[in-house]
Amino acid sequence: MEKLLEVKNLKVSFFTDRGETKAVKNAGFELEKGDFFGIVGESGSGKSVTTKSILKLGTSNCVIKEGEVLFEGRDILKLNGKELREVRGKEIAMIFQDSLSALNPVYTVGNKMVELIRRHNPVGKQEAERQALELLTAVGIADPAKAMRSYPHELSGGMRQRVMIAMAMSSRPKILIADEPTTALDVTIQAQILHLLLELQRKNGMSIILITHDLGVVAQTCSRVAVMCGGYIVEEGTAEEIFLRPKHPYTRALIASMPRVGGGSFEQFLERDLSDQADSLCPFLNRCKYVEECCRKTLPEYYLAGEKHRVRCHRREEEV
Amino acid sequence: MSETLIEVKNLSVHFRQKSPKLLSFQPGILKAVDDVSFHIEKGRTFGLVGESGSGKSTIGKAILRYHRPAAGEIFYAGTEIGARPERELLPFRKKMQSIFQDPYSSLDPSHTVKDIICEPMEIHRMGTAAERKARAQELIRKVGLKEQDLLKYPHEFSGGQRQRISIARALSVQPEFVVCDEPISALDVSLQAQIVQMLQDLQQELGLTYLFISHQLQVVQKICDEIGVLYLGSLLEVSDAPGLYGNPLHPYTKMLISSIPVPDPRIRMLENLVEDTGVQSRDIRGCKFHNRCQQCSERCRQEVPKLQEAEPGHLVACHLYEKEKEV
Repeated sequence: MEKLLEVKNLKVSFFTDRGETKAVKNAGFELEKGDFFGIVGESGSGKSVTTKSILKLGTSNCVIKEGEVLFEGRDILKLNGKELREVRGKEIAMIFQDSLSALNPVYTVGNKMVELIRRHNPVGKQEAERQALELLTAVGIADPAKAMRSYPHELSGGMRQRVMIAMAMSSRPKILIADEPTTALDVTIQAQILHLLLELQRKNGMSIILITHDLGVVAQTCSRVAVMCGGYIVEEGTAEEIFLRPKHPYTRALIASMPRVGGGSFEQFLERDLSDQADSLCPFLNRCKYVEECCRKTLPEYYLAGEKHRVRCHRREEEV
Repeated sequence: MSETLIEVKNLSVHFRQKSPKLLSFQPGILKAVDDVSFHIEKGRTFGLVGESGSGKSTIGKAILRYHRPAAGEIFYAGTEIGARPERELLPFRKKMQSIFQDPYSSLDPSHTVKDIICEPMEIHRMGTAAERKARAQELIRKVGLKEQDLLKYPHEFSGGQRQRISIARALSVQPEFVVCDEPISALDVSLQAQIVQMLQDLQQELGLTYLFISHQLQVVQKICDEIGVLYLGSLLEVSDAPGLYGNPLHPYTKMLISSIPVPDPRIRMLENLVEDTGVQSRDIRGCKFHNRCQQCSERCRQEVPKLQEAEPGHLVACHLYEKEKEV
């Protein structure tokens, strides 16, 4: 398969009055064409910062200290403003959790969509409008002409998220980054939006990076999954590997702590770890049941549990 | 038979809204809660689940009398409070407290934690200042924070800690009944479990009665003894947790449960997703769910189904189950 995006050795820090906070300590992954890639983790694990850094969308105090983001062989982090604008939105599009604040409240949906389409394609206004209608129909909006005339606040949360997806699709991006796209939605709407994303990915051969804290969402959509904890990717593998044969104690704890319908929810739970930990040690150290002497000394390296199943842990399987 | 603490009978709550018609002076009326009845026994937890706009928070607020019911009755330990004037409500307000979803906006940023916890006691004129302070110290330990934290301000705490402060504030006046309105929805999974555990421990220790409101079905099952499913202001199904999850009866409950993503990649639930045909609409005749229901019949379009017992202890408002009875 073709390698589309490669994130290598990414390190991102925030600088505040209180000094440096290392949000992403070391993240690296590869995205192939047509992949549905999930990144899961608790809040504060660095999953959003990682993906925002791919497009250099961090706030002004967010500094990418190290690493490379290779998109079709080019390092995005080295591009200048103009080149970056060509990639953002056109090659790699992004949708966010809060669709109300992500849409401009003083413009109608149609207005914004036409602007966006014309920004990336040399087409006339009428042609752009036609395309906008087509896109809105494709994302399952029942009355696209009415939606075009609406302001964002007049639409429901599910509708707005569909509009966001339509906008992101307008330039036929190669990669769509979806940052918690369904977290603010009701379950029935969530299922529809996820279904839509799957369909778009299959029909257009697009690659999707989905960021979420909901393991259920990941299991239902993603082909490959990375689990983040304290700024590190601690485990990465296929959905089957992560959910059926998880190796890292953190992944296991995360899966066990998930509330399930009909099953024992909350029977085991993960304590939150808010202490700022030494970077050179395992991020799960303070909460891990299996801490050994070597854990307190060095940061574990990845070992391979399957062909592409990487685990950052000192412990090797078998023993559990 | 245990004692009933809260009883809600045929409760309706209406809101005025801008008239949908242009140039009409008739105010529009939004029926947020429409003829809802249930009761909660002392020391137990009743869960209300439903999508946004189903009226679950409105019911909670109506019981606390933040909203005045348009129709129906609310009984607190046998006394009707739904129609009482505001000045007679103070003794009841002491017994009923609430915890809200957003731990950021529900705590006054200019007050210290001690002020926040003591304020309800001041309003209800409980004890001397020294006694109130001692009570605040006791409560802050009970919710797992430190005594020094009383001098801090809300912004110095994380979401989970703020929710603990909200709980301490609610408990300060020794209530019997607490409305928990999405108390854990804004929190991480790992924190959710801790707060749920704490609420349960406190219930055991203090004999509290909860109304637990949530939009997440998977969250309410552990804490609730009985769960009611709301849809656009109507109660569609009431059952204990095993009955509701193991044997959901109403098509809407089935749809909700089947929409929850399963953390198992072998089950591809999105592939056999049933196309949702209709949109939520309050102004339709008959059963409110009929335009989204796969098993809708002519009768559903005409007649509103009543909430009836379909199986022992399992109530459902659906014509499908009435028929079975008749046969």
